[in-house]
Amino acid sequence: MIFPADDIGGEEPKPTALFAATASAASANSWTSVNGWSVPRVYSSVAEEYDAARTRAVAADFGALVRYTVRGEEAAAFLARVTTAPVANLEPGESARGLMLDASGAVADIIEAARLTNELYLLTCSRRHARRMQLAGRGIEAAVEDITGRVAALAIIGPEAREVAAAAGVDPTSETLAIQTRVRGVEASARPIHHGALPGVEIIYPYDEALTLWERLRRASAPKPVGLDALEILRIEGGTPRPGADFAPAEEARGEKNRRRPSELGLPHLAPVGRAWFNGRRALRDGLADQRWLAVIAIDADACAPGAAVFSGKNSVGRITTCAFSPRLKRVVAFADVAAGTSRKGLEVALFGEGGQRAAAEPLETPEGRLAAAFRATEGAATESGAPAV
Amino acid sequence: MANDEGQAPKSGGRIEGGVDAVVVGASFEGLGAAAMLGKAGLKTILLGAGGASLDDARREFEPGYFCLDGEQLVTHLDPELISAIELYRHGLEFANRRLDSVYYFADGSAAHVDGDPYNSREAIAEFAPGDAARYTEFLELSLESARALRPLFSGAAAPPIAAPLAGAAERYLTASVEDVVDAAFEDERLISMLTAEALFRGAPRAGEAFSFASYIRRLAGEAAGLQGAAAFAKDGAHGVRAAARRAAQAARVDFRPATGVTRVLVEWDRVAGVETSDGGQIRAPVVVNALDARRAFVDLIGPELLDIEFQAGIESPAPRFGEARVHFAMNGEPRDERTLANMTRRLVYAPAREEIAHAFAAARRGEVEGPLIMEAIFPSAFDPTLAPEKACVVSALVHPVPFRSAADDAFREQIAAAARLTFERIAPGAGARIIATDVRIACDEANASGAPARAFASPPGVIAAWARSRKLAGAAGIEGYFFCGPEARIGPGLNGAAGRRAAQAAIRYARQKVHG
Amino acid sequence: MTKRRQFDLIVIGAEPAGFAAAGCAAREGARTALIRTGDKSLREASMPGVPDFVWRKLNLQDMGLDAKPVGARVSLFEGGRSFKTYQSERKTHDALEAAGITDHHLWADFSGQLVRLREEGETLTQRASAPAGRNSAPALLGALAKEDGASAAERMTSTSAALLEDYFVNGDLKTHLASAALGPFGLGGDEAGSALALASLTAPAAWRMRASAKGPSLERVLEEAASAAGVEIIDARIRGLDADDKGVSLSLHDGEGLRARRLMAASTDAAARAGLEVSAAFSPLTRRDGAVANVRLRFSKAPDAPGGDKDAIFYLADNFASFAEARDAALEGRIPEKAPISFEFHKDEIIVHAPYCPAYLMSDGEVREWSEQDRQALGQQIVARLAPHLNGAARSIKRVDVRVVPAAAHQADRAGLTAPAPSHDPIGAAAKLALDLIRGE
Repeated sequence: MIFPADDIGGEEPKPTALFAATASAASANSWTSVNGWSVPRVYSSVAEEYDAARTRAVAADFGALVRYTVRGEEAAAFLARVTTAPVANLEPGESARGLMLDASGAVADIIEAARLTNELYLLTCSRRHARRMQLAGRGIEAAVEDITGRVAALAIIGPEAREVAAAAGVDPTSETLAIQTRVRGVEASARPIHHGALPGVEIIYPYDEALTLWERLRRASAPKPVGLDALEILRIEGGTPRPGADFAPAEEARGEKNRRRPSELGLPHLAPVGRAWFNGRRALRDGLADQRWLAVIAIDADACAPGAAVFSGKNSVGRITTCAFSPRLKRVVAFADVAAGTSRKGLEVALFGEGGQRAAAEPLETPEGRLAAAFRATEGAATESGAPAV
Repeated sequence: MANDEGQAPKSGGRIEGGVDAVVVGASFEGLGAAAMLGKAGLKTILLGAGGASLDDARREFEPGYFCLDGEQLVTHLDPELISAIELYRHGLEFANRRLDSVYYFADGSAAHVDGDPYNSREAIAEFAPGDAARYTEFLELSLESARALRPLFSGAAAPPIAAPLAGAAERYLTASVEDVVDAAFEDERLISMLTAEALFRGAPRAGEAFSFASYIRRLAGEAAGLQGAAAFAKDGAHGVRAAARRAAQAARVDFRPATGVTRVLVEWDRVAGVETSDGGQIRAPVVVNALDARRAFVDLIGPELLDIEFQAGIESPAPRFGEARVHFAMNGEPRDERTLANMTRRLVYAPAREEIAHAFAAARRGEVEGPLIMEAIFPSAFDPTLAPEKACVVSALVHPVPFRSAADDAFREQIAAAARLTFERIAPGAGARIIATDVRIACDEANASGAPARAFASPPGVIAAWARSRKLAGAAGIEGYFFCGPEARIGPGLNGAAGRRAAQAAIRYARQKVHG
Repeated sequence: MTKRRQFDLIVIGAEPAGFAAAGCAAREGARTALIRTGDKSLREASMPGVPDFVWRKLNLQDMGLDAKPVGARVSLFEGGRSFKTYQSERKTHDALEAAGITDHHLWADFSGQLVRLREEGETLTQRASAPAGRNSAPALLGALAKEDGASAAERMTSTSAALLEDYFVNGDLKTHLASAALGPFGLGGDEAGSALALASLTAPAAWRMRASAKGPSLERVLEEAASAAGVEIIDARIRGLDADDKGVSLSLHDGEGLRARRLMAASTDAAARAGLEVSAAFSPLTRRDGAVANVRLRFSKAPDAPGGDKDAIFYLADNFASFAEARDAALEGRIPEKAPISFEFHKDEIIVHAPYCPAYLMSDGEVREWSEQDRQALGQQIVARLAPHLNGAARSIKRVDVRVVPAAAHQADRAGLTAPAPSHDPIGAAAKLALDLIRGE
């Protein structure tokens, strides 16, 4: 799951359910606000957390993400309408990623839908969509509830995630993880997730039991807590764009030019036009060519800032939207919003303002990009824009 | 209810193929669309009730007195549709192509205004000499704007307008009736005349923004080829619809009025046909739906296949005002000479400013308090068989009347009383001769035609109606689906432009599919 | 021999909006004059908010203005219920949640939609209120011709009633929003385009402010700022005005004549008070009829505010339908029984604002002006309505002053005088109009 862009504005953020637990571990005291909730950016050090995530397992407080439960006979129809996720094929315990599109095909959010029981679904979004849920429910027998403030969400990410989760009571050998069970005496639901290239498990349990589970986990296997900055590096290396930072979500985009379609974000595989119907599918079938390309690049530099100009030869073709220094690649990895059709070779990024020093950059292969390429190959859809398959 | 993968037919129902187009709903728009599709060479089937029964145009509401239900005066019959399906050849007739209007005012005076808007200047110069010069200027600008904006009133895209006229056109589109009329003129009677024409049969009120556009639309309307005219169709709406029906029959459209439609089949965002009430299917690549938007989209297709934003646009708030048509049976001719002289004209009562404010305020509360804006004609003067010898029938439309989806006798009596009060202003002393009053409101029309009562509510202002019409014409992006229901109309009155546009789009689509 | 002085812009109306407009124009380099006609403007407890660009242009931070935002908007209902919203969106959201109103989920989306609506509406009304004959393409026709023209037209003509009905279920919330949005303009909520009234509530300067008791009033500060910018303030009554292609000529009562390229009023109220005709500026919020009553209740002992919030704005309205009811009554010439009113506490007074009053009273078919009796009756009616919420303080009312002023200015086609469209942010609207007039040659 993807965190949205940090909040702008001076409202004091609220503490999540796990705040008490994570605050004590956050020695670096670097916090930010996401969706009105406090989220730590760094616990101890970005490099340590990143390393731990890639080699062992880390625990993250995912309470800032927005969660809806959808119940009812037509819950699947509701979700099938609102999201592009293949909800109809989900068995209890499975989850699927998807997008939320508006009627013109522009991306509003990146979401995950999980089926907990036969008639209960959990929808995780990066931002609130109260109005969309209200409108979508008209004429459909489904009850939607926003449970964000009522649950604690803990994500364990890393190659050893399953083992660590087992320590918390979640069965590591089951194909589809336990759905709604009592985990060591605490009502919980668990589902498999991915963050970037890393697998993981997300456990959701009631607000009041927040500390119980955390303590159990800490005593059993003590995964390192991971903050937003380290997750950012993993995200960029994974290739998933961040709503609000890498692109403007549909409702907030001012003007046609700022809206993005799934293929412009490198996510055509999450909005398969050839399968079940979803909101906005008709607009996508008009076959308009991509105008922009959200590329993931690796820059030969030690530091970079969002907003830096990207050049192809002499021309400025776009800007960096998010970036982070990757300890593994020893370079800065970044998302760049450039014009569609930009050549993959010869990219350069300005480091200190226009006319300043430039650093070479090249596109980076990411798991998301591989999925997109595979999808394009199977669907046979050749986009006319020339946006290259990563 | 999603039907993406196709569906096996119900047992006992048959699947019919070889059909090029299905039209749902036999309203005037539906008939016009069907006739156009048939004439273009597409094999067309017209399904479903909709539109009143065509058997008998007349209704005997009092022994010996007959009335025509539905519209009698036509102001906006789409000229392109008339020529495309040759309605004149199929029996469209006008007893009078341009009725002169006589306006009656609160102070008891009256003014006879020529039916041709251009010639109205003379009449205005007579009764409001102080405003004559300003009126001429105003009239020229209004007529020019009306002509320039005509595509807008039939649901097309906003046309480009050259600079000097654009400012005036924009002002007329955005301003309220009071803004334009009160600011320009001083004579109270002229003001009430223009206000009455602008507000008649529409939902906006005199002080509301965007309300003056209704007057411009009125001027842009063409009934029998004459701009801004009110024409008296022979047999009223029935006659016009009958002509459309004959045109459709001549175009070899297959009529199946008894068959209803339970579902529109959509496969992969493309229309595949319809499912009928007898359990069968008719497969066709084009479906033109003339039912109201709620049935056409939410009921027949289903919310799971509609974009969220589109569906939100269909749910509109409850309408404020509805139609009320009142027929009087008079057992003698009107007493006063003025009315006697005007029996073959269109009589309009233009209430004074306070009377209009009072009427609209009462209507908002759900009550009817006259005098109201009234448009009355004597159909018996054109067709003497409607009433016994020396007697008359009066057919009057009154506005504003609160909208009710179900009505009781008390409500009808309120309307009747207000109508009699208003008619007394037009023809003093006539009240004594009225022996019967028949009231027909939105729910009666609904019962007769099978459409919901909302379809007969007063339409919103021109700009709002245009926005709604454009949005619904997009038909949610479903290929092969075209909409021409009541929400696609812009403004009150029998029109046909929506049906024509839907049919033209359908023909273009069908041709492009063949040529690929 | 009348000497005619020449200006680039003359502003009529010695109120905060007028001073701000004149000051901004003067800072842009225009020769500006402001005419103080001497009519007393209505007494207010709170002042309109000042937008950022006016602040910067007039350097108000150097003028010692000491003001803070009004604490909250509070609606009082029968049975002791009250409903509060705050300037901070988060605080409002939390308050709604605490009150158990499920509509709070939609508050953020609702505000977002209103912000977008406001931005669209501003381009439309701003273009239209500038004088005719400009080269820029008409705003409405241009908007309709675009691809999403239908959606734009739909948003432009949407009503407050439809918007509130579509989002919210809770009646108190809808009534409260209507009080804050529709009340000041005397609207009923079912007029086409009235959603703009709701939308303009989201403007940053729409939240009103209160000057501290010790500091100077906003009017005084703005007057000083205008003088400092070089505006000539003229005290005179206007006898007549004459507009032609080159500009406007004003003749004053003392015989003097002024000539200006452009003439504007600080607000339609200012024009109405000066008895002048105004060129119809398009806005769905413009009022053509009616009057506003300003009632001052003076107490012997400073009354307590319900809920303790002394610097909040209070609203009294029964339900959403009462707005349309009151508007209709005012149009028909009756004094509505339970018209929505707003009131504020100011030292030992309560100042009540009753915007739904008829301009002329109709009784038995006769039109008559407001008499002293009518004003007293209105005053008593308002006291009776306020009494239950004042906890017995109504007994210590010393005096009731009622003033009824016409709300609408005479509209005429080419009056030569423009006024800004009605807005919750009158200072910003007037300043923008002044800058438009100066620049738009």
